[in-house]
Amino acid sequence: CALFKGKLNIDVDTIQHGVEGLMYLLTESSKLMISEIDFQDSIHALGFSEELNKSLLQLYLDNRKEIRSILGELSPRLPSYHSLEWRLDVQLASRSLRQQIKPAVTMKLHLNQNEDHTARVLQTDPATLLHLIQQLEQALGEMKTNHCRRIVRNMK
Amino acid sequence: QRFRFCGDLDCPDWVLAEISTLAKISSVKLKLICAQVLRDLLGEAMEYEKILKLTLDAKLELGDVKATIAVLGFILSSAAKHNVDSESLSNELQQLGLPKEHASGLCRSYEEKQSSLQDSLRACSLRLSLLRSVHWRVDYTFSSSELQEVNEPLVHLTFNVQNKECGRTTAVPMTLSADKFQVLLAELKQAQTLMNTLL
Repeated sequence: CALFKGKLNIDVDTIQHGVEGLMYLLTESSKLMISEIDFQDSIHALGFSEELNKSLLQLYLDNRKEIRSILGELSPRLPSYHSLEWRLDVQLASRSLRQQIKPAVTMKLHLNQNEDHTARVLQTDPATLLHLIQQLEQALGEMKTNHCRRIVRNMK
Repeated sequence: QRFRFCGDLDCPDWVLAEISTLAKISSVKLKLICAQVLRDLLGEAMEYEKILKLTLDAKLELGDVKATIAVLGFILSSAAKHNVDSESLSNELQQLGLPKEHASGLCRSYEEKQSSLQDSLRACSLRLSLLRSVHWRVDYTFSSSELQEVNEPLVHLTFNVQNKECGRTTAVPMTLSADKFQVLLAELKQAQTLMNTLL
């Protein structure tokens, strides 16, 4: 801001408002994904020179995609899967009982939520693990039913 | 088709796609790049500038260089994970289309570092907590406010346990009378005997 102030001889507040105004114009236009004609009509009402209108339109068209992708990432997010560490152990003996064979799977589920990394530790026996896998495969299988296929087709 | 170095599963598509990129580099330079990737996998610093210099002749773009490092890292760590011997790895890589000299160079680097790689992978396997150290002290209680002549030994124990989730080490202190300490020691010795039968 100070650099522009020196070169254009306008005070800092005006420049800041100008930048904010430009930001608002571009984000709102990108958010609504308005067509060229609509954009031109909208800024025409501001009464700028023809050359300025053309540069604003070009600026909008060049940066529209990137602005949309950044705006897409601003929506609130639930924790999402990052990675899974696991280990398979077998308990052979304890203080109270010897000669055991007790397998257990220990997992550390790494989750991501807006740059926040958390981890949850879970432990299960093989039977529950198989049940878990079966449930998840059933959930994936839902995508192949007619109901889901119809909706996906209509969304495209 | 199933590959041992992929854990008896199909080879991932992205690995297949990058084999042709690996073939563009000369086999000698590929072996040197392997050495750098192995350094990174073993926890030492990888010299990225050297890799960039080695890939200069093959005229690889920056994206291709990164892909090369990624695919070499995958092949080497996955082969170590599934305990694949150097010769089988060479055969499987040739089946994927990697030229013979490239495959043998890669596998020679792998063979040298296979056991260190497996040790390193073993060390970073999932672990919830780790006993760092044990400190002890034996005191002798002469007297207390309850009883004039106590005359009993007392053991102070501190276990320093590191929580693998946050990396913090917590101290777990405790005091034990002589009898309790004998019981603890006997139980731990039983557990140790059981562990020794498995080694």
